[in-house]
Amino acid sequence: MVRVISRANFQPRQWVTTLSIALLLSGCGGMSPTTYVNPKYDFGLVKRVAVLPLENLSPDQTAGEKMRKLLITELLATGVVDVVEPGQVSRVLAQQNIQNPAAMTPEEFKKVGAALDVQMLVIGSVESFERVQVGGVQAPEVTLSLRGVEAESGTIVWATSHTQGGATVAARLFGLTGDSLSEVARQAAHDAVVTLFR
Amino acid sequence: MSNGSRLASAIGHKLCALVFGVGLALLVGVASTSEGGMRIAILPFQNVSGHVQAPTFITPLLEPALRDRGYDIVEPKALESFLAQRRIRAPNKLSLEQLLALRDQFGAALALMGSIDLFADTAGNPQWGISARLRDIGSGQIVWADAAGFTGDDFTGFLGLGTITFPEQLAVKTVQRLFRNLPAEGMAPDAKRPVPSGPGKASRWVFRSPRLDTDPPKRIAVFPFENGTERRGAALIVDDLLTVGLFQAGRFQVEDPGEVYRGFQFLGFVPYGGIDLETLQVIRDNFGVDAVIVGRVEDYNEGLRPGVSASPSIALDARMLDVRTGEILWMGYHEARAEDSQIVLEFGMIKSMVPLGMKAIAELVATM
Repeated sequence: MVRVISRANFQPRQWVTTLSIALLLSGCGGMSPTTYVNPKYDFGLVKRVAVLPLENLSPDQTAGEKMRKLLITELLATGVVDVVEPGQVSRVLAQQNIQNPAAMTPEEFKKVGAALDVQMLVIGSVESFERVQVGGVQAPEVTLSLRGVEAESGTIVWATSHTQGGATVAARLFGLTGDSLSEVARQAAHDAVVTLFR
Repeated sequence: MSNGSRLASAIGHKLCALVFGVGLALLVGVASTSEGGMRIAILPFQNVSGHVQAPTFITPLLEPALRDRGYDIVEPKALESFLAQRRIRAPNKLSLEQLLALRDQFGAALALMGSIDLFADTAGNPQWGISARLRDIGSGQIVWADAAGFTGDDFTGFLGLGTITFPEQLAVKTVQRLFRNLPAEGMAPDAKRPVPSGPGKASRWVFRSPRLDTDPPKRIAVFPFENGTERRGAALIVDDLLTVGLFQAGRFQVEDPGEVYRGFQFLGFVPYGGIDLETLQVIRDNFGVDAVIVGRVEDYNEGLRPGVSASPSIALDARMLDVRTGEILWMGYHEARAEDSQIVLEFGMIKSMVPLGMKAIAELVATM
């Protein structure tokens, strides 16, 4: 027989247990992304984007490229936008003599955007991509900051910062570190990209 | 996909299988020489194992394995001088022109090429890994491809008995495994049924364009992968295994690495990592392929280096690009570890790198 739990027969102790579990689970996957979205910008105009090389501030030398590929996959998987092949992006950056995409001027964004025929350029940085020590265990942690720059004006229309994994409640209390670093990175990329289309 | 298109796709696959089977049977029949079996030229395997002695174990085993199946073999000494005269430095990447010269000089109908991917002469537990493909000399097409690998531990049975401790003995087992699906001379292989695309273990990491259902590329080439690991030659191994994996999936016609190599020699450069539109246009004009696959090997741990996990693991990302538009048709990342298939204790574990790599690649290819 299926017992239907209604608010009326829910005991205070059950409320405490439920709230505790909810609190615990909310701390399992990392913080929700901090996001800025320009309310005046029509994201429906964005049909094609380019993901520029990400600045890598983590100890893993390959983290920037790894996260870039995951971002491209996640962006394509939305089915909303087309993403320019990274090789084409590299060529245009080289043609424009741009060494550091993190330090591009609005004029440079416009030129690169026009050359790649995109409406938006995604830039950003990987702040952490490592296993951090949490008590007696090592937990994978990925922190990602992204900015979407409108190619026509060179202004930021979307920005998000997100940490996935790391010192979660589950890791601190029970030593549960959950997914692999790759899985945490993929989830971070997914959560960050979702904020663009929310 | 709708039921109608599924049905059409299924019929298409069956027709492809039939045409492939009949084609290969005809090929076997036509190319057989009157005096004996079909003649095969066994090209020296590329040694990426990092162990100079590896070919001395494997090469002598190839000839008898093929003779047992009824094939006639081109005299190795004569072949050696052919390669030296033509200054062929990459015998596992012969162009069609070089293959035709082989046919003219030796009457060979097929050419066996491959690579020794792993050899570890670890005390008490040796390891081998090899991959190979057979090309029809007339067309340059791959007609068979496979890979095999073992550790001595793979044969350990009850009470720890059965472990193969000698590399010579394990090499024999590995070569036997490599050729297990190679049909005997005069026999058509089992009709190849293309593996349909679908979600699998790797699907959560994958983007797949709907165009792969409506207008899929027919002919694809695997371009050299970037090597993001400390293992020298890891990208070469993955290139070969991916070629085998794509051939076995049977959904695309795979350009032989020899033709890709010839194309790069002609162009005078190798697009490493990414490709821009201009290069894609040159590739479209010169290679005759509809799409190319590029990628990067992120992890290639054979479990042999000190200080890292003793069980093998692999991780790679790849993407398929349409050569006409530069559009990304498919993009994916996949990783596999020895323990992924572990049932209990060591049962189910894939302890050797090459079978693990093949498994990861097959799972990735399944999502294309």
